[in-house]
Amino acid sequence: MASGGYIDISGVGFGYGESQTVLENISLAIDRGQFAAVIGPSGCGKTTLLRLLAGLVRPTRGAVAVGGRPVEAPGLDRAVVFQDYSLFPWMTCLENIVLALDQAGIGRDRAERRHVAQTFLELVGLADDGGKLPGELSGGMRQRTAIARALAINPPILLMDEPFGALDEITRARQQDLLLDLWQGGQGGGGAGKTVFFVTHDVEEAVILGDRVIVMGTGPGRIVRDMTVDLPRPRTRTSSLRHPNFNGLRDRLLDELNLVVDERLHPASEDGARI
Amino acid sequence: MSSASGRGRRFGFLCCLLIAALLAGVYGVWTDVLRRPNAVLFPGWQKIIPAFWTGRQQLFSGLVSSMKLLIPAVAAAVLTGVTAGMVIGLHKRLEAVLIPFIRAVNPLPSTMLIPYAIAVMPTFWSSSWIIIYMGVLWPVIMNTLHGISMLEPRWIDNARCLGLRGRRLITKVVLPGAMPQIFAGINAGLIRSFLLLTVAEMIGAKAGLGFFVQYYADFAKYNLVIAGMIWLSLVVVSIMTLFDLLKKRLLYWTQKR
Repeated sequence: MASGGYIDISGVGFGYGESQTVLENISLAIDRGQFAAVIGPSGCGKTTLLRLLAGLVRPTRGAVAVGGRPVEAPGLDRAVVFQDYSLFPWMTCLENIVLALDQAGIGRDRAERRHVAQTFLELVGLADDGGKLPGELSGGMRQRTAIARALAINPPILLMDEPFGALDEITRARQQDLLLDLWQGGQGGGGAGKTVFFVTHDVEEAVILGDRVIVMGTGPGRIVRDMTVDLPRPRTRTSSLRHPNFNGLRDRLLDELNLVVDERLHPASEDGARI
Repeated sequence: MSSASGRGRRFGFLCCLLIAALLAGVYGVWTDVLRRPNAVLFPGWQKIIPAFWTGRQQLFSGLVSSMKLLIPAVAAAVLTGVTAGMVIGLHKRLEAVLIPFIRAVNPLPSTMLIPYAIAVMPTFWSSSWIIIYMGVLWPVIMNTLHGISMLEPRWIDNARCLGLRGRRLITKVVLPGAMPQIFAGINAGLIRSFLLLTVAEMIGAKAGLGFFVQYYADFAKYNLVIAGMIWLSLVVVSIMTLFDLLKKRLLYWTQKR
């Protein structure tokens, strides 16, 4: 099943022992520079899939490859933004970014790394907050710092695990716009051209951001639908929401998810209800 | 927020002083005024306060002597304890092997080691030193291990994603992440060390806070004994206050999460 994508997941299974299968026979190819949103109910293994891509866990079956090379361990070519914990609480925001830069071998010395870190903080609108501890910032500001850190090490791939899931509605909307802008090459192009694997449980978010939406189902985790989002680029949150195709896409996606959830709630009635 | 907590601390301090004064007053009335209890065991303030003056030189040299014993012993125990805890905690197989031993040794009062300490160690000072060292070492090791096992998995994920390994992993993530628990261990160790100080100073010591109390108790000079105990308490409170300040300094981030 080598489909030749930049990110190539073929026949992947993951489980804990014999009894507990989390993912079963997942095959997925994502092209370079594509924004792939992954959505599914809780327990469908979407986070596990991201962790497989990050190299934090190894598949029990099948293979994960990036750019033709198998993923065997975490690497700085794949920056990860977690839901609310990408930063170490004992370091200031700037120090968190400097540490990442240091690991990535960016910048000749500490002063230069601090300068680079500051540039990326400015990029996400946190020019004056570098000296603060993550705990002193709001959730939205923490996530912006995490995004700044991910972009600062300039990886070809961004793995984002429900990065805006814990934020309130308005903050989330603003983060989505920021991410869209950065990824589409705004603000100096620091985020342009990256391949993004974006896990979410928010249907609108998936449509607003993604080039395609991958719907996952449960019992065990598998891909049930792979949908192309044909909204024009560059987008903003508002331009997507107002696009005539938006509602149709959102409703189709909701239907898919409802089916997935129905199957889980009424597994016995599967044959009759599925029309 | 800092001014509010500052006000809270000041309020607490004032209340403390007030209660101490109240207790001292009650004791004074009971002994100096009513002359109710046994005058030998419960001397009044009339006798205790002069005892501070007559014993001032010994109290001061006792403090110096005790600190010369306590500080190196505690410092060595913290240093080796944290190091050992890190080495053991980061090697899960080693930990599995050693944990039963550490658990077995930890609750044994190191006072039981006194005869061995005297027999094995070359000087009285080093015998006392080893008693305190052993008493502090185990809680520090145990808590360091606990701190490592309680490191949040997400910090480890994060560190792995950044490719942190070896010494950098330890200094940047493991040590700071385990620091709250390590401090809890040092705290427990310090409290133990004060208890052990008195015992340790019974081994041939010629001076020291514990020695002072013990010495005058043997002569039934309870005004000096009580003066010594009050002095010892003040020293302990000062050390613990300093320790709390240091903790606050180093664990600033735990209050902002």
